[in-house]
Amino acid sequence: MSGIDWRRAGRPAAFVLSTIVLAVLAAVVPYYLTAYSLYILTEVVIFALACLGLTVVIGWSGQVALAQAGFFGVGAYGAAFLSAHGFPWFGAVAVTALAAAFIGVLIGVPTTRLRGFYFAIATLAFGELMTQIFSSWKSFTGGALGLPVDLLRFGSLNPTVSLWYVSAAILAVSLAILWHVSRTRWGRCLRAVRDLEIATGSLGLSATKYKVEAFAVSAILGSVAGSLYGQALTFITPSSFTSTLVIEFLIVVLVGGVDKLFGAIVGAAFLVVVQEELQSVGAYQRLVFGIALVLMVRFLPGGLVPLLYSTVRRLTGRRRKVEAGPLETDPNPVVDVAV
Amino acid sequence: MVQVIVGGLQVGSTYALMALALVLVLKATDVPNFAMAEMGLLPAFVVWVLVDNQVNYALAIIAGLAAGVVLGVVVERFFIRPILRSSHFAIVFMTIGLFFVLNSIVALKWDSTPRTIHAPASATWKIGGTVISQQAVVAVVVGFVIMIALTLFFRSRAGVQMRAVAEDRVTPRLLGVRLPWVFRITWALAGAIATVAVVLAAQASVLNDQTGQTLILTGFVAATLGGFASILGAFIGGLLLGVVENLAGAYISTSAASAVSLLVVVLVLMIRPEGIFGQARVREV
Amino acid sequence: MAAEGQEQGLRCRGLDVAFGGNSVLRQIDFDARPGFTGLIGPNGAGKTTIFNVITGYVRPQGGDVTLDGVDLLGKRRSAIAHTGVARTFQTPKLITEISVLENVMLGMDGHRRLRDWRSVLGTPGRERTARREALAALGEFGLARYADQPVSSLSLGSQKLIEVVRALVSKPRLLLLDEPAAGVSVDEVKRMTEPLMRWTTENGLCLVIIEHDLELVSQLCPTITVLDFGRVLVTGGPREVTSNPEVISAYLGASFAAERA
Repeated sequence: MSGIDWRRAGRPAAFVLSTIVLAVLAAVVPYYLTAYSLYILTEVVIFALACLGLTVVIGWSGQVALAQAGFFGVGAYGAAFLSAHGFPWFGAVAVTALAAAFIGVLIGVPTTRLRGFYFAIATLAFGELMTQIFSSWKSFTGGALGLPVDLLRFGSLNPTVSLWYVSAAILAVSLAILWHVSRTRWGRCLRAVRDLEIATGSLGLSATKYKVEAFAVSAILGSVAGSLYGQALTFITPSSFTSTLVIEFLIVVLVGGVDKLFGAIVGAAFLVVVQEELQSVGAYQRLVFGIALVLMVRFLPGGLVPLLYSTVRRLTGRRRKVEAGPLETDPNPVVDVAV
Repeated sequence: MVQVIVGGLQVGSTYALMALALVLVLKATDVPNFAMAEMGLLPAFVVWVLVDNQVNYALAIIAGLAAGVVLGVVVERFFIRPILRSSHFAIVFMTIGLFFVLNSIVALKWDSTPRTIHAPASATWKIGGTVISQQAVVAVVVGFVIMIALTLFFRSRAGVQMRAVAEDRVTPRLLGVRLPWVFRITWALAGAIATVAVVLAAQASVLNDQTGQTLILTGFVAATLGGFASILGAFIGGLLLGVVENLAGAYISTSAASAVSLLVVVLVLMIRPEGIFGQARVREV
Repeated sequence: MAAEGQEQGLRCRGLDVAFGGNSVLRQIDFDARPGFTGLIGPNGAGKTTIFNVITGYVRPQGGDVTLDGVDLLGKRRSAIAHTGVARTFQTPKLITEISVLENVMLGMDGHRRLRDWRSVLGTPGRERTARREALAALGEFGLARYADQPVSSLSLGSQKLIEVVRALVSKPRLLLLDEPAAGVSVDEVKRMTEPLMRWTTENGLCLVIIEHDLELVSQLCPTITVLDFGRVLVTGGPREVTSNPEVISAYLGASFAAERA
C-alpha cells in the first residue's frame, strides 16, 4: 500500500541502515546550508506533513476532503495563541491538534455520509468557513492585523535550526507510525472502505466510523503542520490560509501520488521548489502551476512517484510491480467510454 | 427591504444560471467542473472588449456566447474526454487546473481593475417608492427564459438522449446514442450558459478577474439545493440563495453574507443530502 | 420462547419487498437450519433480494427476519454482520491490488472486539496470529500457495473461493453464498464444497446457496426452496423439488412440463 515493501524484499538491514543515514543527514544538514535553504527545506517538511493527512483521507479512505487549509490555520493560530498565553509550545501544539481532531469529528460525522462529490463541497465549505472565522474572530486571531508567534529555541540553537529539527523529527515519527498502520488492520479497513464501498458493511466494518477516523487523523496532521508553519512564518495573518492553499495541497498530493506516503515528500518538494523558482515570474506563477497541473493530470495521472519507482526499478533490475494508484484506475469503473 | 430582495433576485439569477451549467455538465458527463465560472469569465471579457470598442451590444453578446460555446467544446474535447476513463480524483484535479489556467489568463490580461459592460438597459424604474434597476429585471427574466428553454430542450430528441446518458453510460450507446456528440453538446451549452451567468453578474457588480470565484461556489451551492437533479430546483435554489445572502448582508453584516452560502450548503447537505428538490437514489448491490 | 429461538437458525416470515411500485418479493417464508439450504429459481425471481434483505442492504415493506431468535431487520449492516452473518456476492468484491492473504484478513478485521485493544491497534503479535489463522483457512481450501499473490492474478473461480474463505474466517453462524459456482470450473467447485461441508458439520454453520446448477444443489442441499417471480413455489428435499411440475415449468417452460406429465 505504501510503495516499496522492504520487509518482503528481505532486507531489513538496508532499511535500518538507510534510516540511520537519513537521521544523521538531518542532524548535520543545518551546518551545511544557508539559513534560507534550511528554511525552504523546513517548508517542504511542513507541507509534506500536512499532505500526509491528505494521503490518509483522500488516498487511503477515498474521500476527497478539501478542508485541510482550515485545519492548517487552526494549528497555526491555536499553537500561537496558547503559547502566547503561557502554554509550553509542545503542549499548545498537542491541545490544538486535539481540538482539530474534535472539529474533524464534528464535521466528519454528518458529512461522510455524503457521496464523494458532495463531501468534497461540504469540506470545502467548512474549510472556507474556518478561514473566514480567522479573519472575523479578532480577539482570538488579531484579525487581519495578525498574530505574532513566540519562536522556539532549543538551547543555543537559533529558531530556524530548532524548527528544522522539530519538523524533521515530527515528520519522521508520523511517517513511521503511518507506515506501520498502513500494513495492519486500520490501513486495511480504510482500504476496504475506499475500494469495497458498499460491501464493507457485510464484513462487519462500519464505513462511516473509518471515514470519520481518517478525517480526524488528517485534521491532526494538518493542525500539527500548521503549528509548525506558524513558527516558520513568525507572524500569522489570515491571508496565509486562503483557498490557494487548498490548491497547493492538492498539487502536492497529485504530484506525489495520492495514496503514497513518501509521495507527500516528493510532492511537497516539487511544490516548494517550483514556487521558489517562480517567485521571479510573479504573476505568471499561477498560470504555470495551472498548466503544470493540467498537463500532469492529462499525461501522468499517477503523479511523479510511479515514474520514479519505475526508473529505480529499471536501474536496479528489481522486478516488483508497483500497484496502480487511485488516480489511474477507478476502483468502481462505470464503463469504458471509447472516444 | 424590497430593494434588497430585488437585488437578491438579480444576483440569485446569476447563481441559478451557473448552477444550471454545473448541473448540465455533471449530469450528462459526470464531471464536477470547478472551472465552469472561468469558462464563462473569459467569454465575458470578450464581450467587454467588443462593447468597449463600440461594437453593437447585441453583436457583442452573440460573440461572447460563441466564445463560450467554443471554449466549452475545446475543453471537453482536449482536456476532459481523454481522462474520463480515469478516476474521479483525476477529473477534479483537471478542472481545478483549468480553473487556474483560465483565471490566470484573465488576470494577466485584465487584472482586478473593475470594469463594466455598458448595456442598453441600464436605467431604473421607480415603483411605489423603491428603485428597481432594469438590469435586475433583465437578469431574472433571462434566467427564467433559459430555465424554460432548457426544460423544453430536455424534452426534445437531443435532450432525451442527454438525459439517458446521464442515467447510464452503457444502454444509450447500445441504442445508438453517440456519446462524444452528447458530451460536446452538453459542454457547448454549459459554456454558453456560464457566459450569460458571468455577464449578468458583471452587470450586477463589476467585471474583473475575481468575478468568477464567488460565482463558482454559489453555483455549486445552488445546484446542491436543487439536488443536482432538477432544473427548476437549481433555479429556485439560486434565487433563494441570492435573496438570503442579500438580506444577511443588509441586516447583519457583509461578512455574514459570504458565510451564508457556506452555511446553507452545509445545512442542506446534512439535513437533506439529496437537496430540496432531489430524490434519494437507491444504490444497488 | 427465547430458549426455543436459539439454535433455530435463520427464519424469514412474510417478507414483502417492492422497488418503486414493482413487487419483487411477496410474502416470502424462508428458513435455513444448520447445514446446506438451497435457494433456486429463474433469473429475476428475487433470490439475491432475499440475501440483501437479510444482510441489511434492502429494507422490506413487511415481514421479519431472525437469526437464532435475534431480530435482524432494521439493524445496520455491520451490526448484522456482528450477529454472525456473512455473505459472498455474485461478482467477488475483493481488493484486487492487494494480496490474497490481506483480503482474507480483512474478513477478521471487522470482527475484532474493541476491548481487545491490541488487535485494534494491530500490534505485531496479534497481526501474526491473524496471519496464521488466515493462512490456515486458505490452506483448507488449497489456496495457501497463493497467499502473497495479488488477487488480480487469480482466476474468477479462485477469487470466488477467496471470498468464501474471507467470509468464513469471521466464524459466522449464517453464510450466504450467491452463485458461488457460476463461471467456475468443476475442479474449483469441488475444492469449494468439500471444505464447506466439513465446516458446516464441525461448526453448525447454516449455509444458504443460491445456484443455477440444479445437480449441484441437489447433491449438496437436503432442503431446497424454489422461488419464482418473487414468491415461494415449494420448499422441500431435492427429489420432491425437481419432480414438482410447477418448478419444471418455471425453469423449462410450461410446454415441457406438459410433455413430461
